[in-house]
Amino acid sequence: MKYSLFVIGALFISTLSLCGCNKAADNRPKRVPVTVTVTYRGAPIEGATVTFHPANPDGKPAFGRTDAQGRASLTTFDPGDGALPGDYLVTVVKMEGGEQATQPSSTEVGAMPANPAQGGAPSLQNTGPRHLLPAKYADPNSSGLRATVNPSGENDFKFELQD
Amino acid sequence: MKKRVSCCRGRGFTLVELLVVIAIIGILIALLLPAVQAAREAARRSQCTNNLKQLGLALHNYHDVHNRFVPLKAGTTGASPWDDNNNGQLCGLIPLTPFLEQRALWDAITAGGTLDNGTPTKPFGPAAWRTDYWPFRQQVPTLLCPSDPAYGKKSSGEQGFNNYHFNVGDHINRNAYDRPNRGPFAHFYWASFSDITDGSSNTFGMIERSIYTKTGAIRGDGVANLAGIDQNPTLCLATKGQNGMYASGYTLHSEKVVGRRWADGRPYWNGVTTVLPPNSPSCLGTANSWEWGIFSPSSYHPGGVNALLMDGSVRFISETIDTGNLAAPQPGNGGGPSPYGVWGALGSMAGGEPVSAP
Repeated sequence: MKYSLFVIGALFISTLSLCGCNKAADNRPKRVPVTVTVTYRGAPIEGATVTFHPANPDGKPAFGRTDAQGRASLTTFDPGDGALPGDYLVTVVKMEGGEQATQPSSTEVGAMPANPAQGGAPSLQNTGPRHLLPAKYADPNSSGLRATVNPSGENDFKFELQD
Repeated sequence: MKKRVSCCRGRGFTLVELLVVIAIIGILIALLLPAVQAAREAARRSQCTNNLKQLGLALHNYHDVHNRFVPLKAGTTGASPWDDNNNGQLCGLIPLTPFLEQRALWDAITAGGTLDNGTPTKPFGPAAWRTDYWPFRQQVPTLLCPSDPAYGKKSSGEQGFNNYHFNVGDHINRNAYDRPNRGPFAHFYWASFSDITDGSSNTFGMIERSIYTKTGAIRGDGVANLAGIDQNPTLCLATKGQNGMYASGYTLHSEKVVGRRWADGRPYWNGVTTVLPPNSPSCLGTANSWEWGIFSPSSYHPGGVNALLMDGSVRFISETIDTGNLAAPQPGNGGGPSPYGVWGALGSMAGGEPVSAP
């Protein structure tokens, strides 16, 4: 009787100790939290994608999507985990999608361009996604936006876009 | 008589002892159950791995016969309504059928036959997206992974399902029509071993991708019209929302057939890119499902996907694989190293990168 109580106790303790063993170590580079605020002509921009392009070739890009207040917290690997410390070129993109191809009838779902075969390129029917912000902000070489993420302290950047 | 009864009474179990034994058994079962579930998933995963091995053998046997691998898509051409030609979109899975023990299906497709309404069709059938042609509605068992929730859910009116998608590599713009692509499979392009200068053991052939089952799920659905992803793939990565769904505010593509049309070779439905890591979003660069985009591999195995290398070996690729700089523009089609880390390097067949599978 005493022996079985001891067995139960041992099993219970070993079960508890097993629960602590399934957490994988994160061996990726350390990130620090980064938040950004984007305004265009003084008004906050919602739904813009902010990308931090690493200036250092070994760096990792970080990105975020702005909310109604124009704010976003950046992601490198896991949602909202921030960015690696270092220098970045910054782009801000907001697109408006064009119409999807209409489907004329059920048998022609996904109707193809007339003759895409034999390597003849079909005319790319780009039905017009277009930039809602000045296009120069979509290219890291022309955006003129920069940020330096510090390993410690506050990393809160404000980008005021103009025409 | 009486003596014997009293002797045996002493050897019985008390209620407390029985309860203790039951408790021990209960604890042991509680310990075992998660292990059983894990073992079941491991069994399903090994079947998926085996399917990929079969496809690797089929690709090699096809190469032995024809001195080339299959294309991503090719076929017969002609005019709308494509009753007697497949518009050059017939998927490379079709010519693999005789090497997957489906010669009868291959014979039926090469013979042509008739559509459901009796219209005759020429060899290689009608438009590759049609469902009114019986050979397209057949399911090749080797193309299904049991871990996928779509397993066994095909209705009789749908085309066959496919979990194993052709690698078009790490370039994005025009990957539906460029020939060749940076990966081994392209539109009207039959690669051979000599084209794979990175080495067949360092180049992906086919990778798992989940079949569409749920609107808005990253596994199987896709965002349309995301221009600029060829210059900055993080724009596509940013569409990721919570709990495996796309974030709100994006337009999903209206054709929900990823993995559900095995005869149609457009890369949105039967191709994968090695740009964003496994289980990431998929995005079309335009409004149209026949054009280019980022098509990320995905699976329901915990933590990654199975991938077939061109030498016929199968590796499990973690979703945390190194992807380099995903804010970099796509590499030019042709030689040159991939900006997208080990993942992009393994996707290109002639990038000149000295990496091997992790």
